[in-house]
Amino acid sequence: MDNERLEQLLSKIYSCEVHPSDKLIQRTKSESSRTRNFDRLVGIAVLMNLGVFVGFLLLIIFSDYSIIIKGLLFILFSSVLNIIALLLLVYKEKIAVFFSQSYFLEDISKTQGGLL
Amino acid sequence: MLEDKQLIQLYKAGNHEAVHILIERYKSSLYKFCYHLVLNNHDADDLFQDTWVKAIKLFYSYEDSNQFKAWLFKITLNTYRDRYRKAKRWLNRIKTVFVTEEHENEIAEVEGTDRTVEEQIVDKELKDSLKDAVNKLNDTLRIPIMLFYFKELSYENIADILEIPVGTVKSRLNAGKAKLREIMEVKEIG
Repeated sequence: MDNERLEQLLSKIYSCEVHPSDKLIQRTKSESSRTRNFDRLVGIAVLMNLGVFVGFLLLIIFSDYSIIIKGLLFILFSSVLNIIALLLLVYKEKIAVFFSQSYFLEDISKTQGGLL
Repeated sequence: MLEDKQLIQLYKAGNHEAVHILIERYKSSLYKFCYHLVLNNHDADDLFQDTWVKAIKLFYSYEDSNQFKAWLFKITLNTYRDRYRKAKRWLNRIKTVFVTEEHENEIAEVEGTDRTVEEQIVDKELKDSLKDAVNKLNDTLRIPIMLFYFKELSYENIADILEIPVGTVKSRLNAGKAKLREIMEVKEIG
């Protein structure tokens, strides 16, 4: 096979159009919305977590308890926070689905205005 | 019409529908790339969707100097490298080997031309065996050939996607074509 024929055939092979289904496009769009909502939620959760953690830490430091009780309270509290974080991580898909379907977030997306 | 960069800026500013426009704009070329990478519809669908999810997460690190299409293809290639390795590809190829959109397109193509039936059959057989030959190449040679014959990307874009110098792109293209000629000659003799 000569070079010209090879080039011609390769061009033919790769010029063949393959289209995604409408269903896939719709699925991708809703997945993109879910990703964004999820990222936003993670950001909020991290900030809240950090705020509560710092607040409680200050409370422990400035309380009148003995150092042992302060230490125990700190361990207890950080364990609770870690368990909550792990649960969020395990159920992240379900949480993202829940929030992407909720009225609150749908309402936000409606108010963002339409470009399409 | 808004440019890609403007749409990304809008997305960063909080307008989520900007990404929907990008999905619509690049749906055909990106899906075609995904399909030729994984060679079946099941994985192409997954790869297409995963690419967009990844791209959305990376929008904040997107630099305006990048060409959006090349940037998107680079994400696709990295996702493919991470997740869609040979085993899965072959498994799904078996599932979809009989009915594919591409096959339907080919039939339509054969029916629509003025050439003789013999010529069309010979052409189709040649195309099929060349397609097999391309798919037998390893990804190092297959992907540059694929990107080049899409006719939509420059050598610089391909080099950017593959993260290799332009000279290496050209040498891989030549090596790939030489290998293909070799395989096809063996087939013709056989």
